Amino acid sequence: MQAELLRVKNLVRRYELRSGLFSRQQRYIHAVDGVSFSLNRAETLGIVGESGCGKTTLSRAMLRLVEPDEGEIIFRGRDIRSLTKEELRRERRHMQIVFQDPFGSFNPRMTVRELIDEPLSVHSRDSAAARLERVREVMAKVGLDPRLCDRHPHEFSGGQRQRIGIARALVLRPELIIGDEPVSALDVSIRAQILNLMKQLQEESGASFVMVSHDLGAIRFICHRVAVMYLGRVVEEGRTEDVFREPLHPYTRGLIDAVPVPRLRPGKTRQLLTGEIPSPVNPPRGCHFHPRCPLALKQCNSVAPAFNEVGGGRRVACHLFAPTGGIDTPAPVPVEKAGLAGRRPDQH
Amino acid sequence: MSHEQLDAADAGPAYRRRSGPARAWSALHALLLQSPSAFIGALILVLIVFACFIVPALLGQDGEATDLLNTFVPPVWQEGGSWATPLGTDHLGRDTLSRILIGGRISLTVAFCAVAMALSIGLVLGTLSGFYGGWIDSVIMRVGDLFLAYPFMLLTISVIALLGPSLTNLIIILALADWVTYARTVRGSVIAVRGKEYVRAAEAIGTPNRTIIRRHILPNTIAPILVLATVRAANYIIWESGLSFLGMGVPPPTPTWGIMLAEGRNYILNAWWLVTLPGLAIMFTILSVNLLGDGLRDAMDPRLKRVGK
Repeated sequence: MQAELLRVKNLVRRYELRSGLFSRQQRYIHAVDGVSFSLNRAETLGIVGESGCGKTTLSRAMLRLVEPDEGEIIFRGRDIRSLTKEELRRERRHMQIVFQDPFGSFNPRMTVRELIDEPLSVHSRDSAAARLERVREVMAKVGLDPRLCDRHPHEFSGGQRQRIGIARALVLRPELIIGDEPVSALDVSIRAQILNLMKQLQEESGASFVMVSHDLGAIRFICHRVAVMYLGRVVEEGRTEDVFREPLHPYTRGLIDAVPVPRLRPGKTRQLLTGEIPSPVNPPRGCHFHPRCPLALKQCNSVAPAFNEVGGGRRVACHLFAPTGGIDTPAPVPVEKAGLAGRRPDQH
Repeated sequence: MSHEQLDAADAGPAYRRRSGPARAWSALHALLLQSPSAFIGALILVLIVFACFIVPALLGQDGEATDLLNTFVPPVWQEGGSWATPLGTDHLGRDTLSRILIGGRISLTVAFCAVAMALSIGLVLGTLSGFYGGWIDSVIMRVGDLFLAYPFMLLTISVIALLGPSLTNLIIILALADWVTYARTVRGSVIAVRGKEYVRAAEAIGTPNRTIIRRHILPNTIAPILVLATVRAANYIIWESGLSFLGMGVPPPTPTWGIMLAEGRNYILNAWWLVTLPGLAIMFTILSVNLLGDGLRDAMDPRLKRVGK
């Protein structure tokens, strides 16, 4: 079960800013700025962060729906970035995506049957009858009545449409499914159903999921591991229950504390984030998070922290947890760590 | 669509796929229900086509026979009219009715063929341009600008001077002069559709480009193109009239609506029917084509599909 399916190394995607016709100065937005992670088979990874932190760009860059500028994406043992267009097109049958917008991601002229059949018609050599059988099977699996297969997507509700989207991603039995905010556009009541469905399908199919979301609750429910992104970089990664129980990076802690809790346990404090997310055009030097960080050290505004392993499969990009204790403050780690771990944020 | 309707249809398939004539008939029936004006347009157009292409053969006239003893005979309902020539005769004694019908053949043929030709060129180039962008787009659009910059009359005169006036040349001229209009409209809609999430989704699935164009882009760009084509078809009838009027269209004595207008103009004060009747024919044809185009656009939008009345 621990076989690695996907490894992303130092992925970079930047967008050029055109300031003016004759401007010589090239300015870039680093939407994804050196992201690395790996994903095992049958594992679900959540990528969480505020709006604008680059998580959607990351999800698209992983599939080369937007071309990454640097880095490697090793999927099933091959670097996707080295594939030709045609090879990539063929490889796509193993990696599918569920889009955020269940309204815009279907061609309004196609019926549900045609929509779900599209991946099959492109990649499979089965007969039309066999494909229809598979379409019905998948529809039933995601909780749609197969008798409705000749309807158009606009005749369905948002939740049903997202089921269509999931059926479409599932129909080829891919090894990797990426969910780009798959439940963000849905009503809260529908959201739980869809999340349950996704979790159940993931367990049944044995596919790996990458779920991109700003919804901590959804991530926590569905994901085995979680990676927290801030301004194009991953700041913390680890097993979901570890990260939620004991967030190490001050940003993660702020993010988790920002989730409203009905009643705070006595003796617990919340560490809420202050300030705005800085402009990605002109990110702060050193650690991107230092202007908002309540625990910033001296070196945080000049030296970008390395992404260090801190044990238990967790990695954190923060000077507080650097193995040598940072550059000019020797070993402050245990104290700060203890301070941060003082709260249990998982009782919602 | 409401849930009641969904539930009601659960009892059985909402609509089965029929084949052959049954399907054609149900399509026509649906058109009548959805858009009565389109139905009327289609009806008038069918009548006009039938009258122009079948009736003259039944009458046994070609509209070119002259009868100098019976010039300027008024229509039958006016004093001095005769049933032999129900819509009167012109300055050479030719039967106005058969000339309108025969002329309609030319006008309709020109309009249909010119639309077909200009649309094919425009659709292919506009789609390439909009879908692939980059240098392909630049090249096609600059060539298009070249055609737009070239005056229509100059183009016409040069082609006619080179090839001589004929029906085929007329169609070629119209197509050459007008493909850019289609190409630009197509390009615009293709670019709009290309940015849609469902095209991104198709790319993510791994659908090849030509399938994306055929399955996602073209069906969703066709509505504005269809309307454009009907409007332009009407224009071609008028252009053909104008060119024939100037002697650069179909050579006489073949009647066309344009030539009839041009010739009848001289006698407008004492023989009103010579201009008015071909003019009415043009008007009704254009009207029916436009009605049909508008209705088809609505009928092709699945979101506007109505169940029953």
